Amino acid sequence: MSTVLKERATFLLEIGCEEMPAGFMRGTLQQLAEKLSQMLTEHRLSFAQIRTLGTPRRLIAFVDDLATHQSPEERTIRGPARRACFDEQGNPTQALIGFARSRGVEPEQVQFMQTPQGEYAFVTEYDAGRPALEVLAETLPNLILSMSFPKTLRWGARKMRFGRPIRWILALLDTEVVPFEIEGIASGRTSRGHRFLAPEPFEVPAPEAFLDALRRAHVIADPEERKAMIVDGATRLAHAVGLKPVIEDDLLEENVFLVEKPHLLRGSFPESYLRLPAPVLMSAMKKHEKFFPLVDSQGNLAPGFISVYNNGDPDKVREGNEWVLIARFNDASFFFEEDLKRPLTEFVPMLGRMLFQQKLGTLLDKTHRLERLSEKLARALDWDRDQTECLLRAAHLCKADLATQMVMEFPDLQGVIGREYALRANEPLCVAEAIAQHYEPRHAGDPPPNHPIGRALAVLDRIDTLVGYVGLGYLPKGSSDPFGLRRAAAAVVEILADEPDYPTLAELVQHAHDQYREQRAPLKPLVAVQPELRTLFYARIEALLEEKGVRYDLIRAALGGGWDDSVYGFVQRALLLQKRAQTPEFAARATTAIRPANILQAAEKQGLKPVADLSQIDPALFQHESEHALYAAVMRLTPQFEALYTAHQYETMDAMLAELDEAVNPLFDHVMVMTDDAALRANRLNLLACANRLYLALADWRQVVLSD
Amino acid sequence: MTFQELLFRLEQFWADYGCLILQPYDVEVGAGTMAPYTTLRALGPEPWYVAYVQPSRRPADGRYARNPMRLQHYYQYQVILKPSPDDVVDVYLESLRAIGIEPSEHDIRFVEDDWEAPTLGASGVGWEVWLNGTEITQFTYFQQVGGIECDPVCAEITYGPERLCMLLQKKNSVWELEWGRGITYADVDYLAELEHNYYNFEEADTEMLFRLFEMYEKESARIVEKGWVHPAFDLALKCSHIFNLLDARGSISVTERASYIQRIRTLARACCLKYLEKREAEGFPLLQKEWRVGLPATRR
Repeated sequence: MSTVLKERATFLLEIGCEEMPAGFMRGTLQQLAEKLSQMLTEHRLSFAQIRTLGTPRRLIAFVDDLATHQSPEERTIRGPARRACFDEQGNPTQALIGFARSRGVEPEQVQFMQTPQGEYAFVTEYDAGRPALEVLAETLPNLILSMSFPKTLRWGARKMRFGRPIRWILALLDTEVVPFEIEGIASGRTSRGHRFLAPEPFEVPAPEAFLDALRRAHVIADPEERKAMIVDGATRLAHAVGLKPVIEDDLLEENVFLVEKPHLLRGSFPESYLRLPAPVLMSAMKKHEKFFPLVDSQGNLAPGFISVYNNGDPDKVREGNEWVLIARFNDASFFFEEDLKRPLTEFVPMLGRMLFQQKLGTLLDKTHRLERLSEKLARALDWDRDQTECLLRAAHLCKADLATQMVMEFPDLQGVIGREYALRANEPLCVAEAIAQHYEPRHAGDPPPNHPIGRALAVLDRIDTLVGYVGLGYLPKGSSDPFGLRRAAAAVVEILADEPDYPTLAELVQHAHDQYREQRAPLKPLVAVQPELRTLFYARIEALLEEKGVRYDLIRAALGGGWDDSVYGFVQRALLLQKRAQTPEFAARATTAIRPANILQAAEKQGLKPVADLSQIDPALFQHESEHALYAAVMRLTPQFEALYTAHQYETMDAMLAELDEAVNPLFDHVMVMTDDAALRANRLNLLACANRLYLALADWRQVVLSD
Repeated sequence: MTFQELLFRLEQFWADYGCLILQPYDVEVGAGTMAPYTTLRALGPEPWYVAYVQPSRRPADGRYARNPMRLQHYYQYQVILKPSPDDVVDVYLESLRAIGIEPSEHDIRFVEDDWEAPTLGASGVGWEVWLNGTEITQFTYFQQVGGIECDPVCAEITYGPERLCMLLQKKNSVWELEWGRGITYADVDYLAELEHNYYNFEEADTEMLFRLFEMYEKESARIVEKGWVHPAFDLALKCSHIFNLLDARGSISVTERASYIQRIRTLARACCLKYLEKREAEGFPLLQKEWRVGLPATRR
């Protein structure tokens, strides 16, 4: 069909669809590149690179320098062993004849080669490959149909599924159409421009001409270019009136994929609306209208916004944008005034009509649990009366704003509205702040709350949620975490990492579990919930320590050790290990510390049960001075360690372990621990168990990887 | 453009396209989707191209007529195109032209918004259509109704006529809209809106409503067994409206909510299954008719 085909050419694929959700686009484009790359490699079609571009109406892939013909391939196919190929007279057997026939050759063409398993029959086949055009035409339909999306649909009378209906497909290898069809949608060289500015279909002669043709048709195919246009344009428009646009990444990204060509305008609203809480105005602009708010040099909200639009007469669009924003503000203003007719505290009983979770009760039930948990925590932290009262009040009010009309309308303002309303109801500032802060960090990467009351409530609220959901059997699986449990666990860990005085994770979980039990929620028993939550929390601690640059083996060592599961303790000990690992003595310490651990493990494998209990050691059974010396060290260190551990004095403990090291090594050098005399053996193992317990207070030293 | 003229123009446009213009369904519904013209007809292989105004009631959305945009009783303009035509988005944009909105002069966006109606066991995928930032239409490709896969898939286009009219008349409150002849939306509907709000939120006899729910539910289940799909479906709609009233009265606890929704869905699903069964027994009669649709030359 074609004249002289180039050896290498550009391949262009455009899948034209109805407006794809902005949130699908990045993942989909990446997936398209991956699938193409995999398919081309599988089919021996070499290429230089794949570039994907896209707008809401099109997914585009360029494959640069694609071989227009599959690379040839020589394949050797192994047949039967030589001894099975000939009978005693040296005639070909049925095995050989069958093998030859199956490969389409005569028996005499079969070759024999030596392999590690002996001599075997082989046939060498040569595959010259096929034109890329044919291979693409065959593989592209399935490639397109195999694409996955967060959600798919069917449309019309078709059976296929895609992110949004496919309306055209353009597929060109150099100047040739790659011909295929998917349920009546035939590939071709026709594309379409901007839905409103250049609706007419147009033909694309070759891939190289495509992007310019799109540009002429008012489509900027490259998301990065659109992004730059939006940022530049918004900044310029804002600067012109001495303001700055508030451009958050998520909103920018969404705008990039809501338009085929960004146009920008600056709109404004009457200053009188600035009486509404700034977060409400921001939310109406950002979440509802996808506008960028404007702020002055002090960061105060200005009565204006930047709107990114796809098309239209700027005056009409601005008029419409301003109209709808003011309508939103009026709505918000209506809710604001209605809500303020009563103090925040009166919203609390309404939480009894709002479900937290079907089996975990209402938000009022949650509030009651948080109040009880707060009492316990305040006692554990030995807080004074003022702090305790503030925490209890904040716990009582922290969910109240969920019953307000404003939060029902602007759900992302939960907490923020609570603070506003609390202040207006003359609640103490510490209560108001805690209500807002207990949702922090709101997004990954945000800082945790900075106020003690907010931190306490942030931890308790999340522990309550985690215990409830995990207690019902909901655990995050793979990439699926619909209830945000991993994020909740990460927030707890992040806060507790800086809290030396908090109860341990196990204690916090137990308290929360007790509250559910009192409310008769059908949770799994504590013993079942604890290990599942521990896994969840430990994974977050690991992640936190990795971020802090702690070596992976040392993280494992820290998490494997410790006498309890205080997050602060884990973190401090991991950081200590990281520091100590730089010193020359560290290797010797680790080598010594694992000696008791290893022998205890071996003993346990034999069914012995050493106990780390000083009262179970009988000095009368010692036979060597090294036993007396180790016993003396353990007796001296144990009570000191218990006090130091509680005070998180890990560095001092580490230094003191040198005494233990000095006593442990001679014992191993002079005493046969696993002697046949059962009483002597048990006594020695118990002694070592007591020593091991001291090492274990800092780490599971067996996890430490020593380079030499 | 007056409110009534807006509706006339939509009627005319969709009639020209090839849709049947139906009249509003006469049982209380929360949305045009719940009329049997959509819920039942979305099922099965038969073509179905219709458009209708549907007065819709959502008791809990009432704001005692004090909010300029929120009402417990309002109108929807509902279009069903089955199977969804390949150029359905273009046709929709053409319909905007018919009501005086020139798409190229405005910013029109299709913003992801999937739809779900738990009481109907229905769900779809689609967009909100924005005109200069205001949502004017809900556009949905139905995927399931009554828990049954839609095959072929219909496109549902639901216009918010009040919202559109506010834009066209540049009014900030629904109550100021000119319905026609200098008479406003308030002149027509204000009193009813207010009274319904008082009734829905404060007066409705919940004892009676609970009893009615049980009665209608029982009757619907009884009747559908006998194969009388449409009366059974009407009774299911009654249950749905009563549930909404009880909800507005604050008489349904959060834990009961899910079970009421489930009960209505069970009724609706039974109707859907029986409807399909009966149409199939009749050989899906509309498959025999030639139903040509498309934009007339004058509209292209």
